Amino acid sequence: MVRAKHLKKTYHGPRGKNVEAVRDATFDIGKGEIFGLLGPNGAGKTTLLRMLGTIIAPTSGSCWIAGANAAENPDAVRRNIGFLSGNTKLYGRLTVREMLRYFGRLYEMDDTAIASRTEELSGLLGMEGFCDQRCETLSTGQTQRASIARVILHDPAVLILDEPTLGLDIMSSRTILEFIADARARGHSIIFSTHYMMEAERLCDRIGLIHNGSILALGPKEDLYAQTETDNLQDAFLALVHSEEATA
Amino acid sequence: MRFAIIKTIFFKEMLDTLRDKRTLIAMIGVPIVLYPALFIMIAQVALIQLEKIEETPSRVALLTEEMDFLRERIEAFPLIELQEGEDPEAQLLEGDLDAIVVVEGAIEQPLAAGETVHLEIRFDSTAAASNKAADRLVHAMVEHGEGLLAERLDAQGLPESFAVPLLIKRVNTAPPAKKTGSLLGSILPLMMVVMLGVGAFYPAVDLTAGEKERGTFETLLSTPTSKLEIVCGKFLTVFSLSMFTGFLNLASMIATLVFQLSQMAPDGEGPLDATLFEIPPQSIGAIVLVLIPLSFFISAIMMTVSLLARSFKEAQNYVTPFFLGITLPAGVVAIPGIDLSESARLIPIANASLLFRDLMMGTVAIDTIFTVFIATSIYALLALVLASWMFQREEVILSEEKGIPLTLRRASFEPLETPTPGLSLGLFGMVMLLLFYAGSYAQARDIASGLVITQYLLIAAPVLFVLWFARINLKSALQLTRPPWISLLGVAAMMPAWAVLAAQVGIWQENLMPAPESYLTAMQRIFEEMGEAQSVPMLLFILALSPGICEELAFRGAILSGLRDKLPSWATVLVVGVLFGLFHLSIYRFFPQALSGFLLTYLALRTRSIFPAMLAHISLNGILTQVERIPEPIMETITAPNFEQDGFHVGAVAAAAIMMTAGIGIVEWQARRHARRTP
Repeated sequence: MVRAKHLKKTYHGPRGKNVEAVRDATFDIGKGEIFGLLGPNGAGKTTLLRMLGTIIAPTSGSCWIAGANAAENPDAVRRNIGFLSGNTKLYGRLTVREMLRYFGRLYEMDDTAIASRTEELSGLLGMEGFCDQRCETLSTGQTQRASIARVILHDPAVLILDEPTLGLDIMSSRTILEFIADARARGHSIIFSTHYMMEAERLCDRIGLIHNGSILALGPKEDLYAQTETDNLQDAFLALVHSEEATA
Repeated sequence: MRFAIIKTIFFKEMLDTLRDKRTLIAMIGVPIVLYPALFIMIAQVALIQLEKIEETPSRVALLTEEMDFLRERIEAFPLIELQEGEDPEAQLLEGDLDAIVVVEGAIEQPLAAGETVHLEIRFDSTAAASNKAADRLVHAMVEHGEGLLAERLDAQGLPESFAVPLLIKRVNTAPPAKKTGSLLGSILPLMMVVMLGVGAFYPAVDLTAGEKERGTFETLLSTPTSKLEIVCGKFLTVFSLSMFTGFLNLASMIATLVFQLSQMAPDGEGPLDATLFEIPPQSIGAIVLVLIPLSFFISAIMMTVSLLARSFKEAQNYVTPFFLGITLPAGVVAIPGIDLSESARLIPIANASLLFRDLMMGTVAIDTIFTVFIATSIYALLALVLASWMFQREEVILSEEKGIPLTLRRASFEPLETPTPGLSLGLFGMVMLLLFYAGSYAQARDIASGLVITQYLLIAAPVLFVLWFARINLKSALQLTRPPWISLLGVAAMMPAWAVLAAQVGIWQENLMPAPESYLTAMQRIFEEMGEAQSVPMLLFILALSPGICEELAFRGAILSGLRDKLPSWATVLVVGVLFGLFHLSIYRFFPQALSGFLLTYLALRTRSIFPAMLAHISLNGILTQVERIPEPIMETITAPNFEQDGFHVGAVAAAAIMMTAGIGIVEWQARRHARRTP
């Protein structure tokens, strides 16, 4: 479903210094799989997900979503993804229903399909009470549910979720995590990033550990434990960073 | 580009903006409520003040030796109240007195002797009541003086006309509409520009930096919409709101102003009647015509500037200086004596503002309107290209770092086969600007060298440089491919015929819309001077070979290749031809040149090579420069008896049309054969 091949992103820093945000990311994600991208702040998670989401173009390398190449056919990629990050907020001055109608039209859905899908999602996510409220008046949890509705409105094959639980309280986090598990059950492929080790441990089929722009290790958590001779992700991560620094 | 998507974005942005209280207050509240209220209030207070002064008698003191004599003469006039003052000078300064009449020396005796008495009226020009008192006294004394003069003449037995050898009367012949127009013409243009800016300001900031700040940009970018569609939808919103607010403000201002003028009476002219404010309908049409690209320009620039900011507040800081910057050139209308000269027509904003002033007074030539319209449209186009270019750059859209994030280094550009449409239009704008400023200057200094400089240094070189800098493949962008030889044959068959047809179109255009005499003689003089000064090969080099190469590189090379893949063939021919017509900077040359532009674009498009178009351009210009050398008998057979009026013989036109068709047939046959061979 998702294939990344030698993805690399270099930013032009001040005074001609280049910053390598993502160095050489290569991985595949299968149908109905949850792939977790785990790493500290500034590791390159957001940049990597933005490249997959065609928000930014890679400096080199390429990626495919549902068979479409992100550089050659970005529109096909965007039709097949639902993208959620800390920077994908909702239009405060529109109501939830108007907001969903707007995005539906951008996905070129027709108005009756948008209306019936809105009803469906409203039931599924428990949004009946606030569907006609403006997004700026919603509570954090309500906003999160409206955002999820926005992400799965067009029923994309792949969900790209960048730190979806960042800054949320326990209740709202749980909504998100349940939604992710649910989405896998319905056959969506999911790639999500987090710096909460617990979340990753609980949910992910496979995990990529990312640090300083490089993917240090990749595989089911059991493999990572075996590889680093540890029994939790936190220790595994620290061991990997340590050995990386030792070799560098 | 899908129009349904642009429409969706446009309507959403409109709804979003109109739900914002800040925008609503700035856009609708201010013009509808605040201006009228403010203006009318100030006017009413001023009016009440004025009436009060009119009704209050002036307090006047006399300083003279013959107090009784003078008092008797002044007291006779109404609204003058004489007072005794201890220290009149000080009282005047403190406002306890309104004026002092001073006469040094005797009065009665010199008057009786037929001499002149000097009368001094002292007043304080900073106090309204004192001014009024001085006016009243002057008026009274002049009237009294006239009575005395009449007595003296009577005593001498002379008629009253004796003292008036010349009676002079000033008559203002400006029609009332023009008087009003000139009064409003010095205020309204500035207001129009400012109002367009006010209208564009909030939406421009809100839809770019505001959206960045609210963190919804990335949401939008993750949908299957292209950045061009997003920029178009947003731009249309800013543009519409700018136009809407502009007109709303203008209507409110005019209504207030007219109301105002009808209340106040400027000195001695009587109140200005609101019905006198009549701008000729064609002038209003022209104003609206120019307002559109002007609003386009201002909206696009404001959007570009706001895009650089990360928050609403930061964007306001960036846009405000720009906003003040546009009021400056717009304000030139208030300076008396500044005319819409040839160079002024090209200065952005100032040109439109001066044009509006002249249009309100009803005195503008059509080619001036045309030039201002074209110049403003080109600025608008450049600004929009800049805005969409900016929008394509991810570091601008997602800017999280401080400062202005521009990567203009050549290395950061993707190599391309052909220019993007935006770059093509940008190149057109650039060439036009260079032509406006540097080209016309160089040609005014010396026409021959000026033309060569224009072609090579202002057209070909900058275009080639930009293509190189943007890392675009020159060979494919400029279509430097070997043309099918048979199409060159087609061109050879076409060109004499096209020369006849182009000249014929020129004559028809001249009949329909005659160019002013001064324009024709100026053009003729240039060509005669050049013809005398230059040898034939030199003339062919300047007027045929150079434009054939340089203009083709720009138009049938860079501009065509950027548009070719985005537009259907017919639209490409149309757009490039029209741009080519506009490039000649004169409405009188537009149609013949655009027609030639259509043909040349068609040739380049169908033969997939620039060379047939170059050959055609060179030979067409070559024929036109050597018209004089065509043997007399040939010219006599093909032209109608009255060439200036009718042009060519019907038969000659028909023959030319047949030759053209044959030439096009050859090119078309070759192109189809090629299409069949390459699947």
